[in-house]
Amino acid sequence: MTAPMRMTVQRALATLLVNAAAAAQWNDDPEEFARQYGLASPDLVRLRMASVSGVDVTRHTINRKRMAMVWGFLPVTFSVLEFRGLLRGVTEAFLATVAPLRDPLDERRHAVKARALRDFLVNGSATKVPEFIVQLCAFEYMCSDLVSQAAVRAVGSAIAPAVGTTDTYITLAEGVNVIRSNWDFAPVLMKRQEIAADDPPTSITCYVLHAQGGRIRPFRMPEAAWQVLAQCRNTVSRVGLGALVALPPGEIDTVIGKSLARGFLAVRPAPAAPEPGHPRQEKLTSG
Amino acid sequence: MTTRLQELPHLGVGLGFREQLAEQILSRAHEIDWLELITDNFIRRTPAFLIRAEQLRQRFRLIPHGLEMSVGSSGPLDEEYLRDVADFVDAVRAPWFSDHLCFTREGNIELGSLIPIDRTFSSAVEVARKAQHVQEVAGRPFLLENITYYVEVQSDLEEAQFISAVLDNCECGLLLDVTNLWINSINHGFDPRKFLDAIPADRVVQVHVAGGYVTDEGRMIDSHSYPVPDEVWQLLADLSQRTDLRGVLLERDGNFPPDFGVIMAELESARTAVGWEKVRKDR
Repeated sequence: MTAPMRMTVQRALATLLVNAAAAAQWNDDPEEFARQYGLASPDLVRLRMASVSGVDVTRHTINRKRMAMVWGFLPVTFSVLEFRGLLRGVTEAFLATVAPLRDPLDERRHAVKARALRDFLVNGSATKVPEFIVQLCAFEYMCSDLVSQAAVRAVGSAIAPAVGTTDTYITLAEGVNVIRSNWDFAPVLMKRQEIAADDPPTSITCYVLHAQGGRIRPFRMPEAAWQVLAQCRNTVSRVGLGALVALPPGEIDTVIGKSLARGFLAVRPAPAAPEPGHPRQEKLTSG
Repeated sequence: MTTRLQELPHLGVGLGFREQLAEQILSRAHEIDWLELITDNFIRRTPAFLIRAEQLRQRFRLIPHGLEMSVGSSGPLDEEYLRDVADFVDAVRAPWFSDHLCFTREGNIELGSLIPIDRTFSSAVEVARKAQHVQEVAGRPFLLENITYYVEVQSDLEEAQFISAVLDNCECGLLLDVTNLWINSINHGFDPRKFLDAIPADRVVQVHVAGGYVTDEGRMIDSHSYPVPDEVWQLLADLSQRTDLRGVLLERDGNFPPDFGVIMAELESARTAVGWEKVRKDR
């Protein structure tokens, strides 16, 4: 058995401030904490001089700042959680479970932190959170994320024109994604309408979300068309789509034609080598 | 070659730029000597933020004040972040720039808050080495700011000793947050004037002042959301007798008064405390 790497006082303090389990262990049995984390005896003595209330105040500050970033990205989800009396429990469970690991310090850092909360909810880590809130969070995250991505994207990625080749490769256009939910969340997000949350799921709603001008425009669409666009999260060939979607080829062509015209799809050069393409869909975000 | 601290210009009394106050700040630009920008709100953002900074630069002298240099982390500096900060400092033609004497990350843990460094002689030397590197990369004086802290481990050095040890080992300046000093003196029980005696006052280039509140438990919190208390003005006046300050900056981050004149009055209080006239702006 190998001994743990030696931990510095500073690292130990950082761990106490963000890791609830480690902090609980520290409170229960500092010697065991020191043994487990490789904190030397003199450093253990020094760390014990840190006041419990000082650690608590500092941890509270860290958590408040962390959640403020997420709140800004998922305001409707937070409002619903608060209205339902779930906000405190969810945030406490999230903060205790998900450590704030280093993220890029850029425009997207809020998205990274919000994604952690979304994943936390979608993975079922927070008990007693109704499914409609989980799906609302996924829906709102996708909307905010598309706007965020659009903001940082370089202006106008070149789109290869559709040419008269025997096959054409297509993908969702920049700033576009598709999502399917058991509740109709678009009015909730766009018009801040109340949602009848305790009602059973209404019916499956399918949306194309398009980030334009710093805002999201949601377009409701039929299930069949959604199936076609969902396959276009990866770059796919027009011919290949026929094997992926159980629709007549003429219907697929109609969906593709309309979607190209509305800017939901973009034509891409053929991939250099057969490859499935980078999955655009983040696996937890859609039905 | 980096400008010597003694050669830095006197900027006067400035205000921390917050977007919520932008309209009032611009409407009373002639009464505000300079602005401090939170570096991290402008770098690694969309071009609109750089355009915003340039718009402000045409009206004010700007000083970038960062949050994430983390000179106190035990690992290496984030050189990419440093280059972005240096580019921004260059873009706004700042005479100096600043960040905090603290750590905000440790290994792969991101704290997102200003946490006090484990104060030892060896850490002071290491922090000084990093700060000097930051200054050299940016090519402008780099100031380190004392933070408010609510937790501390048993250390070899008192805070003032640690600051002195850092400054002894680099050519950087000090951004002395007088409110932080006052709050720490109350929360941790020391005499703030002895603190001023113990630090090299001639290295203090700039000052921050702000107001906080007291918790039910009697702890003072540095919230930047209340008027500057009289004790802080008195400490500022004391400090200004000890050294030739180049700038005083009022920080206000929340609980904004409905009347912007309240904030303007605080700028005047700062001028009174240090005995300065308003700086005449030619821009």
